[in-house]
Parts: sequence; structure tokens; C-alpha cells
Amino acid sequence: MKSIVLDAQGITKSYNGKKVLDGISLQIRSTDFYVLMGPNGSGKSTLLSILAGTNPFDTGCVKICGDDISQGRLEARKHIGYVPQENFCSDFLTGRENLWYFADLLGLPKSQAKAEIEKLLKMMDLEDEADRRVAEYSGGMKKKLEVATALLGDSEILFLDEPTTGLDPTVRKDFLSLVQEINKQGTAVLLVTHIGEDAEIASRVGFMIQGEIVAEGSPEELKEISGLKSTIIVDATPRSEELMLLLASLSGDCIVIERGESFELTCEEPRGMVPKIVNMLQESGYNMHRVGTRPPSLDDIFYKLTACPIGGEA
Amino acid sequence: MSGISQIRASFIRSMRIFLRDKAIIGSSIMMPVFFLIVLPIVFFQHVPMEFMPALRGFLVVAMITLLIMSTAISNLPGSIAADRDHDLYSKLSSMPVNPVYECLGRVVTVFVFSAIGSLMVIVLGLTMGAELIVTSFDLLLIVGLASVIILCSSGVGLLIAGVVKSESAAAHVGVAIVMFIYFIGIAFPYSDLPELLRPFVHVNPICLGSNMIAVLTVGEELVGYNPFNFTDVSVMLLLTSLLFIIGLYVYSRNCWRR
Repeated sequence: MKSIVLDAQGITKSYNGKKVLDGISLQIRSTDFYVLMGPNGSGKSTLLSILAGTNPFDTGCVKICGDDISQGRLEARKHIGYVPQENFCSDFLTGRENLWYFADLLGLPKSQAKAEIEKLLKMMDLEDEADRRVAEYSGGMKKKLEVATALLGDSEILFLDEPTTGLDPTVRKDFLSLVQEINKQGTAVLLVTHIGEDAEIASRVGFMIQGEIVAEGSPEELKEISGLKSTIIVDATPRSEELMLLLASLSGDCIVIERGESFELTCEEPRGMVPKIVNMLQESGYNMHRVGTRPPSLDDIFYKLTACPIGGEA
Repeated sequence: MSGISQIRASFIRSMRIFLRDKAIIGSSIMMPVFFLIVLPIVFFQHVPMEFMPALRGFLVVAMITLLIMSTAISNLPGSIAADRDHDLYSKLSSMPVNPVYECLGRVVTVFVFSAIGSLMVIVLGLTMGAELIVTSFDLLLIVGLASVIILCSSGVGLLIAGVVKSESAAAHVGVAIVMFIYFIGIAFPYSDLPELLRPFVHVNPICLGSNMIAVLTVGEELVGYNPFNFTDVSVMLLLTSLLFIIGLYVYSRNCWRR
């Protein structure tokens, strides 16, 4: 049954007179794996901290499993599993000791706490490392341990604040699979990120800029809305602003961004563009290394729908 | 039930950290132990032998007070600031946890850690010839007075933790305050203090508590005055309660985010 776990209506928040969140409403169901994407400063972490009950807000209402979270009420917090950006588990304690700390804070009976801790250590594949101090853990292991602390007790929704930052690609992929598995087992997930790849496995994605959610839907729906068919990758030297302008001038509806070693063009109608680009590069005397296409990523779709690069500032 | 469980969780966690962090052990326990051994060698060379046991006894009391202050005023805010740096309070704020209970767990840690350290200092002091003469009733009173010192120091520590955000700054501010209190009202007997500094002792619950313990253990002669009077006792209890409550309030308000 798809029950509403999180219901936020009209959330506003200002810092020093500047509006950071502008009337945001969001509903998350028990089966949702919701990823909120936005560039730095878009307000996504502020929103997450408000929804997790750690940050007061100006107006609006947040209900977790029907319980109002405002006014510091503790009841709604029973259902929240929150993992902030920083590694909050103590380096001086072992993984198991950290889990016991949070289980005791929640007041779990000893037998229940023991069973849950062992189950979570197994789920996170931390059984063999459970009695080592967290100081000896890798970044990925620390993140898994923190997710385990968030799943203790009656957590109905898992809030993850940029959990993959600093993780290498393989660990990131494993971590996201784990979160997906947790979601499949019945815990709703709300993850905020500025990395498009993190959102590929989500059931719903929200695009956030300047304190507002401007687009929402499944990755497929967002792709449909954006109208993007494919992204063209151009790797040519010398890489210059002039080349970027030349690429942009080839078609009015193309957006050109520099990503790593290459330029990427997202166009609504990419057909016929590749020969045009090849000709242009040859005529202008550029050394062409690669011109190819790939399906549009959520980063591309974000850029297309918000006109704001995900890696930039909101 | 849940309150007790939260106090216990917080106590066990911070106790483990205090016992495993070499910096905390070093500054809270090893430093007083070191002074207990070294100071008599440096300063007591010309003291007549008959005064030595009492003087060593006074030094034991001073070192216990230093140990408590170092734990509560420097290491408590230092560990809180470290948790703040690591966003622990964001996590705790999202949980059904009462800040007061969580804080009390930390204060219980200061009590237990100080008790362990104090026992070590007392045993070492007695081994080195310190004379501490106490009756059973005095012992109870001394434990009570030590508790007042711990509560007052914890209040100051929580205030620092609530105001100073970075770990190193919190610990440094704490050390500065500890040194200030130690040299103005604890290191030297009241009778040896300059007239100008004596009023400070009467408005500082930590100095008053330390002097009261010294009077009970080594005698009024060495301390130079009897702090067991209505004014000093009232000031000590009132200011301790006030500092602890304000510290608890500032900690709950500034460290926690809700």
C-alpha cells in the first residue's frame, strides 16, 4: 500500500532577509526513492534539514507519517532516519558501539537493539569490521554505518544529504545499490545531490533551483519533458572559448557545456548535427579527437529544463 | 525510562571517548599527576619537614580541583565542539532525543571520569606522604563539595561549548579559564594570596569548594581562613546552580538545532 510518509506544504525559509526556500510543497510515499537535484546554494540541503526536523522554518507544515514535526515535537522524529553530510559517527568508537549508542538513545529494548544491530551490520556488509574503530573505516564504510544508524527503530523515511560526495565511482555505485535495496524493503528515501548519476536509479526526481522545485517526475518523464534525444560529445583541441562559441553557433537550440576534457552539446534535434560539427572542426583547423553521441543524462536534462548547470551555483 | 536510556547512552559514549582519547587523558589526569610529583621537588625544598605532609595534602586537593576543571571546563567543551564539527547535533536533532538528557549523560561522564582521576591522584599523593585526615562524615561532605565543583565547572564548560564553535578554540578557551581560576584561587593557600585577589575567591564556587575541601582534609591553619560561613556557602550554592542551569540552557539552545 502506498501511504504518504512525508507531507510538506508551503515551506518557506529566509536567512537574513534572503528567501532560501519559497513555498515548497512535497509529498513522498512509502515506496518512493526520491532524488532532489540542484546546484550548490539551491536550498536542497536546507530543505532536507527542515524535513528531517533539524532546522526551523518560517511558514508551512511538515508531517511525517501524519505527525507534525514543527515546534520541536518528538513524536514525528521516531520515523525519521537522517544522514547529514558530515561523518557524525565517533572515530573513537567501533562501528558496533556507535550503533549501540543510537539504539540506546532511541530507547530500544536490549534484545531488539541487538537483533537490529546484527541485521544492519550484515545488510551493510560491515560484520567483519564491526569491532574496529571507525577511525580505521574508509569513506564508503563510514557512510554505510551512518545509514545503518538511520535505519534503527521505526524509521519510515531515510533522508540522505549528498551521501556520495567524496566516494569513488565504484563505491558510489555500490552505495546507491544498497540504498535502492533499502527502498525496495519498504523504507522511503529522499536523497539530495548535485550529481546526476545518483538520480538515475530514482523513482522520482525533483529539480531545484533558487529555493523552488521547478520540475518533477520519473527520470523517463523528465527526459520526455525536456525533449532531449541525445547528447553530442566533442573532443577537439585546442579547447578554447572560441571553439565553444563556434559549437553554440551551429544550432540555435543547442546548449554547450564544458565537461572534463570535452564539450557536450545538448540539442532537441541532434540529427544532422554530427556532420556539421565535423565539417566545422576541419574547416577551422581544430584537431578532432572524437565526435560522438550518448543518451542524455539527468545532468543534461537538468541544464535543459533549468538553464542552470548542475555543477554551478544556483 | 527513555530519559534514563538517553542519559546512559550519552554517558557510555562520552566515557569511552574520554578514556580512549590520549589528549583528554593527558590533559585531565596526567598533567595533575605530573604536577603532584614535580611541584614538591621544585617548590617545597626549603619547607620544614613537619609541614610537608599537610602541604602535600593541600597539593592533592589542588590537583583534584585542577583535574576536575580540566575535564569539565576544557575537555567537555572540546569534545562537544568536535561533535558539533562532525554534525552529530544535526543527527541528534532529527531523533526523538531530549537535549537535557543527552547533556546530563555528558555531565555524568565528567563525574565518573573525575572520580577515577581523583582516586589516582589521592593514591599517588598518599604514597608520596600526603596527609589527609578525614572522618566518615567529612568524607560525605567532601564528595558533596567535589560534586559542587564538578557541577559548577560543567556549567562553565557547557557555556563555552554553546558559545565557541570550533574544537580547538573551545579547548583553548577552556584551558585559559582553568589556568586563570587555578592560579588565582586554588594553587596557593588563601593566606598567601595578595589582598587584591582575595575577593575573587569569595565569588568563585570552584575556589570556595576547593578551599572547603582543603579545610576538611588538611586544616584551617594551612588554608588561612574558614570558608564554612553562611555567605560563602550561599554564594557557592547559588552561583553553582545558576551557572549549571545557564550552561545547560545555552548548550541545548546553541548546540542543538530544532
